[in-house]
Amino acid sequence: MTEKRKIRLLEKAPNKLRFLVEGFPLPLVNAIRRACFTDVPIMAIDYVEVFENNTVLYDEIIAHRLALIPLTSEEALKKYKRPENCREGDIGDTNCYAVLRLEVETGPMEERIVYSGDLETFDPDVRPVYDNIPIVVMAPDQRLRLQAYARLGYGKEHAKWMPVSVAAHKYVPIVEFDVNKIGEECLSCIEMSYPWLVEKIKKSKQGRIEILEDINTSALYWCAQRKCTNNEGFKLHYDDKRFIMTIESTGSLSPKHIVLEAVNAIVKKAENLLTQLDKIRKESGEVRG
Amino acid sequence: MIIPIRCMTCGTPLAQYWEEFQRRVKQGEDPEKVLDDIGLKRYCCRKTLLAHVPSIYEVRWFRRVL
Repeated sequence: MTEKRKIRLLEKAPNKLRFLVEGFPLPLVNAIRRACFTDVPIMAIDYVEVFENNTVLYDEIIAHRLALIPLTSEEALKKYKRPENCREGDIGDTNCYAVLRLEVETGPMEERIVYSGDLETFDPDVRPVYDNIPIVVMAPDQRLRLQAYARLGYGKEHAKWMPVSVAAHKYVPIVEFDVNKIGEECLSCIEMSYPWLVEKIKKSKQGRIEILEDINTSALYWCAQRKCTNNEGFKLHYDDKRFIMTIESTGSLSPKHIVLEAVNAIVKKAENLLTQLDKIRKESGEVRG
Repeated sequence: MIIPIRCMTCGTPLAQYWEEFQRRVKQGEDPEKVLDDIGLKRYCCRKTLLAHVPSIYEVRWFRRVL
């Protein structure tokens, strides 16, 4: 089976990527999607030493909030050791852990909000993606001093290490229509949620439209099932050989980088499987050329 | 209490939008328009900003007994 393999870029924003995948089997596309969630390492705060804290939020809550702040990981991926080697590591190991420090104090008349930008980082490559995330709101005469250790980790360990908020694929929806045969009820049903589609239909009278825009087609499906049954004028079907993939990053890695890392992770796993199989074969005495 | 850093349903970081959202809504803008401007499409993220009550501004005066 040799289908043409094609990837077409549909939309590219700093934190979002949509592309059309053609000629790849569904299991592979799904594997990439799932690897985006679970097998792409990013930096997140994992250890917090609290020296002083008399704000209203408990140490644990602050530690949790710190962990959820996305940290830039683009360079850190090359610099730091992989999660496998760091999970049991020592927090003093500079090849595993990046150190961030937070020291804030309010005077007797002072009030302030502590932002993620107040985190002092020792490694300029590992810093909060957004500088205006509120961590704590402080009243007068309060203190917060802590040191945080960030490391690489996988999404399967904890959600704070997930580089994506959305990684999804769907079939390409295709609409076939003929204005002369289309029913009035059907058209008005579509117009309620998709006025631009009706405009297109009326303009080109007859034909076929692939919906590559970033929209939900479930209302269209409902219309096609309930209101457009009696005629040949409108048909909605899904091309199950082509997929639209959507990747939305949390900001720590670029979406492109996430997909590449995910593919790498799958390749590594496949190679590992092959070497293990070879090992078993050798052990059982089977010779293979 | 205090604005959640991420949307608890989908995991998108949200807290960075909170102050802009709050400021603009207080100035009388329609929250729907502000959310559209910010670029939050899913209703899980929208509800998190929309329904949040920042009670930490009242609670923060209490002392912790250590």
